[in-house]
Amino acid sequence: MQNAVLYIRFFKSLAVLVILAAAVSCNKQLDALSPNNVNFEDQQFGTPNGYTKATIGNYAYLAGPVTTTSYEAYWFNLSEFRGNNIRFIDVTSTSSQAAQDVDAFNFTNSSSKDFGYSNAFWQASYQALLGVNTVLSHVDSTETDPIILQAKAENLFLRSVINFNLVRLYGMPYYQSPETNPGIPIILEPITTLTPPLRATVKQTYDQVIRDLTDAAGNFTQKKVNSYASRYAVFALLSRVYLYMSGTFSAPNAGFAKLSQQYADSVILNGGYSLLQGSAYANYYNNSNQANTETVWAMNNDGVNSFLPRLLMAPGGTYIGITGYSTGQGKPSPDFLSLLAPADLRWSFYRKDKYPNNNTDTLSCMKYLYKYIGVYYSYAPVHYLRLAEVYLNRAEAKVKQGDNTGALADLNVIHTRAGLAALMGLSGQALFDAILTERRLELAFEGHSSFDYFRNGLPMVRNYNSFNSPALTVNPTDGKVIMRISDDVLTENPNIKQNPQ
Amino acid sequence: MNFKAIARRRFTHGRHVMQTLLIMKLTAFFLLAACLQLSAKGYAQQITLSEKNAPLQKVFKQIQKQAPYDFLYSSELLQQAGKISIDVHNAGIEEVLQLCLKDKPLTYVIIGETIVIKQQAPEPSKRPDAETPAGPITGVVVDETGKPVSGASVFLKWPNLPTGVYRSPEGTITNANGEFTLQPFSTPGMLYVSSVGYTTFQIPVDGKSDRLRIVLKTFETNLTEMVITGYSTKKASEITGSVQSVSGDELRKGVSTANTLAMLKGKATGLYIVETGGSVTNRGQVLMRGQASMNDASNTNYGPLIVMDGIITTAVNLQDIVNPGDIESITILKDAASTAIYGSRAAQGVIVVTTKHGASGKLSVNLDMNYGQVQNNRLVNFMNTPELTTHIYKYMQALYAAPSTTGGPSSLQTSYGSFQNYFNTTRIYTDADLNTNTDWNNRAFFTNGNQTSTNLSLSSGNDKTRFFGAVNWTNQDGTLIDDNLDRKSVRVNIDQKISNKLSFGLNANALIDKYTQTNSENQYYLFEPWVPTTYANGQLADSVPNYVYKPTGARGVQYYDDPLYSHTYNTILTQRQSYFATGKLKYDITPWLSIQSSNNFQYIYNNVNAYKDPRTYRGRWDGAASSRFWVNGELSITDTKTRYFLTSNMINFNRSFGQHNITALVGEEFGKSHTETFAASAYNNAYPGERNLGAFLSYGTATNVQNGTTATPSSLAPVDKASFSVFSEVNDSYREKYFGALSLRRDASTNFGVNNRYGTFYSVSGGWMLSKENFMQHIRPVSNLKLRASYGTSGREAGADYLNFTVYQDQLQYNSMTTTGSTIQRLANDQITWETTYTTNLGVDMTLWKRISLTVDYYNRRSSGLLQTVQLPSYIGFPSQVRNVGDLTNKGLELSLTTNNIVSRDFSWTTEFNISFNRNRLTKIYGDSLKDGYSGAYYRHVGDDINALKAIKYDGVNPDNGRPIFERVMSDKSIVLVDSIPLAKQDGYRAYRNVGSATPKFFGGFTNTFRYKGISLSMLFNFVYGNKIMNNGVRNFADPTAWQNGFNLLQPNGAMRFWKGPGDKSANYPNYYDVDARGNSAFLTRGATNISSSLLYVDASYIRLRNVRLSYELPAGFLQKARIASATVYLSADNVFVLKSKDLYAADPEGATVGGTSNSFGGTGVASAMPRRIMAGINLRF
Repeated sequence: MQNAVLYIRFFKSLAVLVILAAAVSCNKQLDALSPNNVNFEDQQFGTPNGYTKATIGNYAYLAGPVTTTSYEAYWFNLSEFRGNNIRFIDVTSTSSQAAQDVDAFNFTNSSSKDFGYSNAFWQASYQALLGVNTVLSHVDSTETDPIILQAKAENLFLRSVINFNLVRLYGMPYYQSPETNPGIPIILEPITTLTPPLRATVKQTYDQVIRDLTDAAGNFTQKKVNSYASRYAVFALLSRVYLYMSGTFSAPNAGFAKLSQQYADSVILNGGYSLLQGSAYANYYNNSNQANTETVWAMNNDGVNSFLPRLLMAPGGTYIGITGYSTGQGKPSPDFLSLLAPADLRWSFYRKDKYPNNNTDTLSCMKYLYKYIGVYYSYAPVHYLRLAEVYLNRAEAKVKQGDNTGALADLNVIHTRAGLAALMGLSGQALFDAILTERRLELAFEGHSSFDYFRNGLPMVRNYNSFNSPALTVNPTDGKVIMRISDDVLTENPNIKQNPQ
Repeated sequence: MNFKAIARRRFTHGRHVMQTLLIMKLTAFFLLAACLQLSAKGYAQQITLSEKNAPLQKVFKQIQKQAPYDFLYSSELLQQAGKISIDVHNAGIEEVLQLCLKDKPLTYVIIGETIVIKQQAPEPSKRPDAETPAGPITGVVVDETGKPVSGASVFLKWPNLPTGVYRSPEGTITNANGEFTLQPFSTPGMLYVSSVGYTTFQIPVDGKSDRLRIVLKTFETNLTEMVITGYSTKKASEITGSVQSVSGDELRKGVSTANTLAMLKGKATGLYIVETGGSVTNRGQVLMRGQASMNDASNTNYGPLIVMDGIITTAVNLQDIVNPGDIESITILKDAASTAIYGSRAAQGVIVVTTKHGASGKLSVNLDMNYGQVQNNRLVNFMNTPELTTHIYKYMQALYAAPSTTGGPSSLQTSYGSFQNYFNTTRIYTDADLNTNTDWNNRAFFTNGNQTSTNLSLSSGNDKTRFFGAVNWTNQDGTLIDDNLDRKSVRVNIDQKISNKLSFGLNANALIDKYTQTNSENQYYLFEPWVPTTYANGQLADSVPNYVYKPTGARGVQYYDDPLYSHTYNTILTQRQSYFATGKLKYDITPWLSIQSSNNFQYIYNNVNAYKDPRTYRGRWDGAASSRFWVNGELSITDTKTRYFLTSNMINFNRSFGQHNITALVGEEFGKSHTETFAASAYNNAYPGERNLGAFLSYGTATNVQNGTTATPSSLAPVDKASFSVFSEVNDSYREKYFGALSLRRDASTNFGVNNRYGTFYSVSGGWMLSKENFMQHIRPVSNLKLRASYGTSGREAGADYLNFTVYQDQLQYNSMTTTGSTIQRLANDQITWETTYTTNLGVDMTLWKRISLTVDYYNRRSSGLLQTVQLPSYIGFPSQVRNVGDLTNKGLELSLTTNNIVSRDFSWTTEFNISFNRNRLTKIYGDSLKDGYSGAYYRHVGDDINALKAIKYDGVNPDNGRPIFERVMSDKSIVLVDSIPLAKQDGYRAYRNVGSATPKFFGGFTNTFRYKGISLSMLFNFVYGNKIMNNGVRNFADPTAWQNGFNLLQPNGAMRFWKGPGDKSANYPNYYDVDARGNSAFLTRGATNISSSLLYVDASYIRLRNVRLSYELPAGFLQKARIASATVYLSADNVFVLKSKDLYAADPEGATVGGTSNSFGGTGVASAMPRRIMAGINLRF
């Protein structure tokens, strides 16, 4: 028995070692396995090609995969529907989606995720940012590999796009105290701890956008098709960002207007882009962006179909026995259509549809019907930056600096391209107004509508009724010009202050 | 070590501390021994000797060289004994010694490692009272009625040998006539005879005993039964945990099905079993002692771990792993004491399946055949022609009469001028149609079927080899169109004794299943009763018209497959093959120490072949009814293969120390599985009837055809998993009165990657056989009383793997169909770990007047660190992540009662009753609320049941105007009655109030068995109380406007009473014919069938006559002439009737499962019910 006790004591201490040994050997067995058809983060960034693929993934995320977190569709709803280019007809559905669809349009700006898209857009923006920031966090400051540098440049551009789109929707227009008005939380690297970030000011947000764009410009190592960011896409966006900072017509900031003009110059003179003319222009939206010489950067959807056209037009359906039915719930507004001259080539972007019991608003926008495949899906790209806009940016920048001749010349480039006679003898306020009208006509349904009023200190005026919504005027100082932040965001992050309305 | 601390807390008494320490040391010893199998080989050595005419002393020295024994003898004795010749190969020590001392006046005893040789006691023949030399002992074992008991164990043990002297028991098993024979012996011993269902009988015997007649009494308690608890087998009396054992025979006396889980319903306590309808593909859902995990997309299995013949399986369903005919017993392990040894996979309980093994004795052949009908048993139906056309007429009247939004005449009135004109122009049936009345549902979709099963098994064995083999063929129909299971199975279980010490076991099993399901039209509500099944010429139609309403003119028509025609062509065939083989090697190092290695391989092949034939309408055309497109036959094939390997190695210890009997085991396991899938789709079939890819001309699915896109591979990624475990268990039985057990398991799994790969689970339990205490002896009614208590943990893995890594997937295309980007598929959570359930169990086993057996268990299960997919803060940048965030508790009481009401030679009546109560509460949830996964309409909060149902309260119908009454909750909690859901809902979630739970307050079963001579009748009822079901049929099919889209409507019965007119107070549903100004149904827009309305949540309590069985055992005399050992014929009927709430409108009250993200609690709706099966069968034993 004495022996047995000794043995047991000895074995007991050995047992601990044995368990450890067993653990080590089985760790090896278990380590040998890995999940299939996916890459761990370290593997993904083990090769330059992995950077490229992750970057492509970031573009793909912004473009239109048909999921519940489709960035581009929410961005489009919040950006375009808050202007006066659109009129909603016949919103009969009582589903929560129907309420969400018209929330921004009605300037209700709901903070509930069930009644508006503010929450969805915010979530999608920060999810896109995580993808971008993860790539950037793997780029060393001393990196020299041209493929990785290209990925860095493209991701910096994407971060600017995401942040700029956010600050336009959540920060008051730049001309109104940008140093004190809250902008957005600026997140520059993946957050792993639960540290709720604060909102930066509007100015800090714009500064970050400009910093990223400037940084991006120096890192491009190649020029790809216009579905991808390029040095000139960066300049085109800088031209727009500075324009947003260039103040109102009555109180312009000539310095920012000049910068906007300079970046526009660079794109127009050196970018190698050219405006489409005649029938090529009339067919602008019937093709992919890839061969388009006017598009500077587009969110391309040739790979994955897009949900974006859902409310604009749905051709080729069947409705209680009526075949060939087509319609959209969001129609070009009468106010907008009244501005289009009969000879305007841009009528070709609107098509008559077939919808029972609707005889008044019979035109629908067909800018997003490229390769329409039914059930609201198409493969249409979003032409986010176009040379036409750059001309109009420059025209506006020039008029804000007092260069009426240069501004009118740039305006006429776009005006005559639409098949119209050149405008003559305009200057000052009248010229500025003509530039804004041209901008409205040229860039309609491309996500500029309300911003062009508010950033210039102008009211957004809807002189027409929509279904269930009366005529409406929103002043640029009204809190409603920006979205409420969603309740969910406020709950999860006590540092975020709501936008008062 | 937790282990130590808890052991100490529990045993505070000094002596017990010592005892505990000893146990712990033994545990350590076993853990070591598991890893040092090589060193154990010394003991395992066999003896090989060849000596001619050698002195014994020399022979013993040879033995000593080969085996670690010391010999103790007097040289004189050995010399007197003379020389011997011996020639043995690989023999055990005892065998060698017996040979050495054969015919010598010597005997031996083995004391530890010392062999004592001594003089034999005087031989019986030399005694004065000697009569005859000892011959073999023979006997016969019969039951109280005088019937022979076959298969009873007969053991001869030697309880009176001097301390430390051991002699292994001799044993045999009675043959078919109850007879046994034991080898001759001389030392007086004790003969033990036991058999399942009988009290163990013991009698002292000596060499002269012969021709014994042993009468076994039917069991009063099951305490002597052996219970297989997975890694070990224990006497029922030694069990300290909560364990229920159900014999295979008992199971097979219930419902007739290939699904073993269904057989347990009403018999197993603590298992809430739900079958979802009458299809053979429905394997059923089981919750053990309440739901212990949160609803999550990655969590689809809420059921227990399934262990078969000691091997942990990957099976989720019993139907897929074992054929019911092969089952010897099923043991359900419920508390931590019994499940902790299964560690990380046991939080939801363990079901241990043991299959039949051969018995030594005469060859026995068993043939069981049955045949019967499976009947559709739906309690509801759709409307017939007169009902539907009457409804349409009334609804069109209401539509016509409804004023416009401006209050003026409706557009129908202005367009048509008169109702008659409107009706005649737009109605969707003609006068001629009224002559046709097709019951599409019961004729085409929910059909009757047949069932047949043949089971042939063979059992044989001798003292070395035991064999069991069985073949089975089952062909079972469900009550859906083309719903069939064709099962063929083979099982071979061999137990081979290679030597006294070494034994080998092989369990091999193949299940070859073929499931047929329809791939034809399955939208049973789309068929209008006035549409005939044939063309005008009487030929069966391949497609049938469906008429839709158009307010602007004549009815529209679209076409659907005629299921009666197409179902023979369009089917989904699932071929499922499961191969399961285990090889076991067991070596007895010493009588008290053995090692065992089990190595198992499982291979599961699942092939789904979904085919649509171009000879059928829907085979040629796919797409929505309004826009069909040409596909000319479609096929999709999905192949899934799973390989699983498990090696399980154990050391078992069983030894007495004084009054303590210690059994212990230690083991290690390594398991690895690989699953891979292949899937492909094709269309445009060149050879109708050929359902293979080669017969098709184009790759892709109908969606590819419709959208003009290229087909892409759609197979899932292969999944590899592995786990490694070390485990140990120690049991102590002291004076057979006090029982203690400890178990410990440490698991490592690929589930959580490197960081949190390990989980440790343990249990402590004890039992006290109170009835063996002296003070209990005079309390005569109590023949058995035992208290049990246990505490411990068990775990549950996550559904997904590698959750602590950020993972990129190449998934989204950009710029072209061929440029793929990588996006983050999952964000790392480096904190994630196992879910752990802490269970306390208290139990009592009691037998009164030797007639009444009662088992009561109380449990408290706290499940903590439950995995939940939670929404991440937006600034993290990823929408959701699986985290350990939830806690919940299940508390409950289980009671099982068996009474032998009448016991006599000719007549007996036995009643078995069981009931299980469970109460579930959420104690912690991420963000304090859990959004309902299905409706998304309400939140569950801490304190709610995990399956709490919340809805806006429906107060019935306003008798004056037929509108519904709902309760709106104001901010001060006062209630305002409103007449529509949108009005009640305007304050968000406030109006949602608790209306019950989807899981029952209690459930159970009740069986009565009557036996008169050879005739026996048994009736099994099962019941469920206190759960609610969502009236899914009403929700989906009670839309009064549905006919406009060509749908049929539900045929109202007593459960659905629409308001008839002012003053109708008996109605429970609002006015069906209320049409609002826009021409919509107010019934719907006011929310009568809204998922938020409590009108839809109805009590689903039921009691069902689950099975009635009448059997007759033919008299033995008659059979002997035919050389048949026994023959039984029987009639059996399943699901005979059900009693349910009068307000429930459903095919069956059962069928509401829990879990998943589509948690609808909808039950079977109006689809198929539990089928009624009427079977006749015969069981023959040769």
